[in-house]
Amino acid sequence: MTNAPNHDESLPPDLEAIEASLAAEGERLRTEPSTGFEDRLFEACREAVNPAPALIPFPAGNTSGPLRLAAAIAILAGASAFVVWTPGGGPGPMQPGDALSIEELREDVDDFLVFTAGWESAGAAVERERPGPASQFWAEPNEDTLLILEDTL
Amino acid sequence: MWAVNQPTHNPPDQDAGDAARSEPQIDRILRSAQGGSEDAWRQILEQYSRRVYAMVRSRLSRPDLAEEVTQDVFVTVATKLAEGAYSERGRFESWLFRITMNRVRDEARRLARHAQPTDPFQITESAGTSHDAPADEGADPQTVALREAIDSLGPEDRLIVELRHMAQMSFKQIAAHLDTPLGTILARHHRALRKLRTILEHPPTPSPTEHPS
Repeated sequence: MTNAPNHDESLPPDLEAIEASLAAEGERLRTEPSTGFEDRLFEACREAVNPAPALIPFPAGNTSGPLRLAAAIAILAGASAFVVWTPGGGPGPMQPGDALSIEELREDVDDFLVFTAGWESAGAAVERERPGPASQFWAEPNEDTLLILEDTL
Repeated sequence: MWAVNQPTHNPPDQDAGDAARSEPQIDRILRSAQGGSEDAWRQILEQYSRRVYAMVRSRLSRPDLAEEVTQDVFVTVATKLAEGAYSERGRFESWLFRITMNRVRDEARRLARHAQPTDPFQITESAGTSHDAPADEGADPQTVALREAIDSLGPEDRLIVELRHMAQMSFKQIAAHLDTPLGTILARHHRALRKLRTILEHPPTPSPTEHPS
């Protein structure tokens, strides 16, 4: 509820000028946020309530290691699920757009540390190229993401 | 989970361009937001985000930091609503601004911990909150003078002034928020305005040792 200052509360006339100054200052501050302020808040709230599923890119034909690592990253990032994304399609049961819950993958990634030795460099490159929470990075795979992963294989 | 474009079942005339909403209307929007309506969330943000920002910004002089704290406030609100932790039906604004002030105090403590002891004017403690930079660089002299005058108020007076003029709460809401009789709130508000007027008409002269340059 917005309540514009009014004078129903017996404001003495000698204080009207200072009240007007305060009202103007309040208006100045309320209009100060930059463009897109509400949109940024909205996205932050949506992410807090409903974390975006992580989209994990991995090369077709070599799913086990990358899939396990991706699942581990998704778990660490607090993702609720991730979607398998294989740009060119690929063999095996996983197809582009397949969605797996983290719960479905938890047991499978128990031994993910086995794979981290070969993938640490990928993780470092990812962090160097796209610093920030892993969940944000993985949420929007693109050509750079795929390139890093391919180079590391 | 948030649903895209889930209707909030409010009449159109209450959704478009009407800034003031009754508590029952707000509760209805909150219920829709709890149910996952993105539309309801956008209404909440449209209604309150800049008022929360102004309240925060009145205590923190850096706009980017004020935006960050404001975001934290609404993330907290969103999380608590999603968890069903909001139970103060009919007192949303009071709840919202209590979260806001708690977050401002947290930030003030964080800034105080990181303050450089060799630069005592970088952070000034005031009413349990702090300013992390000189007040409003680039602002016009009247604004700077007003901000400094607000900073110099006692904690109770300052809070009432800010809840009224930055957060745009009604005196009745402020009275409920502070659990103080309405007459007391009005008297304190008048007293605060008189103090501000006195400070602005007769600004204190800084002593030579206060601001070494």
